[in-house]
Amino acid sequence: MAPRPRQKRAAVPPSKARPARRWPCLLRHFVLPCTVCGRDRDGASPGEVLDTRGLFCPVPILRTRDRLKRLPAGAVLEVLSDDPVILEDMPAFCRSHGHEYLGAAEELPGRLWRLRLRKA
Amino acid sequence: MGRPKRQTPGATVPGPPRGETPREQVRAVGLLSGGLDSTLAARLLQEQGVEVLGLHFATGFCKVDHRRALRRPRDQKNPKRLRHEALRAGADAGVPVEIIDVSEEYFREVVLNPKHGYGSAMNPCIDCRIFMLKKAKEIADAQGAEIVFTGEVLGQRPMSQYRRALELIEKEAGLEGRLLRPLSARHLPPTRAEHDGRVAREHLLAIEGRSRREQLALAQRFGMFDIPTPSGGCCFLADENFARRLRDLLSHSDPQTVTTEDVRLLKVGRHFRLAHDLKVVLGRDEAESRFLAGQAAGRWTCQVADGHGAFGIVEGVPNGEQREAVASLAARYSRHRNEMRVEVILGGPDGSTTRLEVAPARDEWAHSLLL
Repeated sequence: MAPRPRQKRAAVPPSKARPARRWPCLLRHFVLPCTVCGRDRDGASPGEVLDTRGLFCPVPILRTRDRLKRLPAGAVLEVLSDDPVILEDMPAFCRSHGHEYLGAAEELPGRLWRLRLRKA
Repeated sequence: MGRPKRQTPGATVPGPPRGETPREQVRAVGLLSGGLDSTLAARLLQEQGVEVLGLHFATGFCKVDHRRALRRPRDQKNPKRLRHEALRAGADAGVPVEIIDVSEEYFREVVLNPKHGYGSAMNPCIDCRIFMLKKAKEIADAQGAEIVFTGEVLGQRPMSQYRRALELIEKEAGLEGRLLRPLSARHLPPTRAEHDGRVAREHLLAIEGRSRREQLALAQRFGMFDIPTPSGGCCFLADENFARRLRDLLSHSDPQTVTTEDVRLLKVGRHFRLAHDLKVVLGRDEAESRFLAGQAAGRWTCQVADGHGAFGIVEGVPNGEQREAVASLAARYSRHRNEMRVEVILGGPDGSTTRLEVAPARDEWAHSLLL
């Protein structure tokens, strides 16, 4: 059976086009920080972002520790990493040093993660 | 008698009571590898109300660190295999852990010039302990900690944990009267903190020998069920294959010019010594080939033309005849090893490429060059 030809969608004149849809914050549903609006469940956005892509644990942990030293208590730090081991090491680091681990979001499945923590 | 009740890690364990009179807060700094013994040592002191800080020294010779860098697919699927055990141990025991990179200094001071010699391979265990304890002493002094502790057990390791070695390490690290080994403390002379009652000696242990039975029982009492493998097996310097390559590197180059980058390459692949100043390193699997490709900048490289073979890098500059030898080794460790002629691409340090058609190296010849 021949496939049914797809109907072309009629062009919408620019004046009547809908405004770009704004996605709601996904954090109403998940514990993890929202990857769309960048806020966590308490509505806190990260004070600073630390990019550790290309580094293997424990180097991202050491960079995190050094960055935290410069931040005030209560500040939220976001760490970007492509090493899956950080999902084990970062919660352990936070637990041993008393920081609050806020969670991790998978930015690219199996390849890139965004983690958040709040300095004690 | 039923099974002992499982306790959550970090929970308060019914143990020895604290002193009847309230004592001042005692602080201790200790070496925390993440293995069972050092974790138990930290927990024993914590149980007595001592404030503990764990130090983990990254020497550059840890096998787990290397596995992390290789990113083998089977490890990637299970990140627990690659987790940092010291961080995990610190989290479970509620002990903050400082990771300190000492790789460059460690290589120059300890690996190249061990005052007390090597063990069965190139493991300078006594100098290694002295080096780490000296560093720990500096940090303890800065932190105002009186006690420095380790998880050493009398008679557990043949080179560094017999009685005379323990005494020697304590003396050379400048920690006489301050170095506490909680697992074997009652076999050893009391430290100052034990003398004046800041640490209750009677609640420390008297473990001796290689058996881990007592440690495992203690771990159960503390509610530790996620017990790591023995950490003594994770040092490259105690590995005979690695030691052979390191000896070869040091005998064919000036030890003062050898860098930690050169040493890192020794952990990967098959190494073939073609001449005094020429060596080929071929990956043994895809992860190693990928790792070597990452180290290829500024070096000659080799791989069979269709990519179905080990990637290799060349240490040194091969002349015309040596290039054929390099290519024949790359052909031998490829899918085309049984063919008469194989096309191999040699990459130059400047990014240029040369195609060579060679016969794969004979097994006997390749094995004679293998380090």
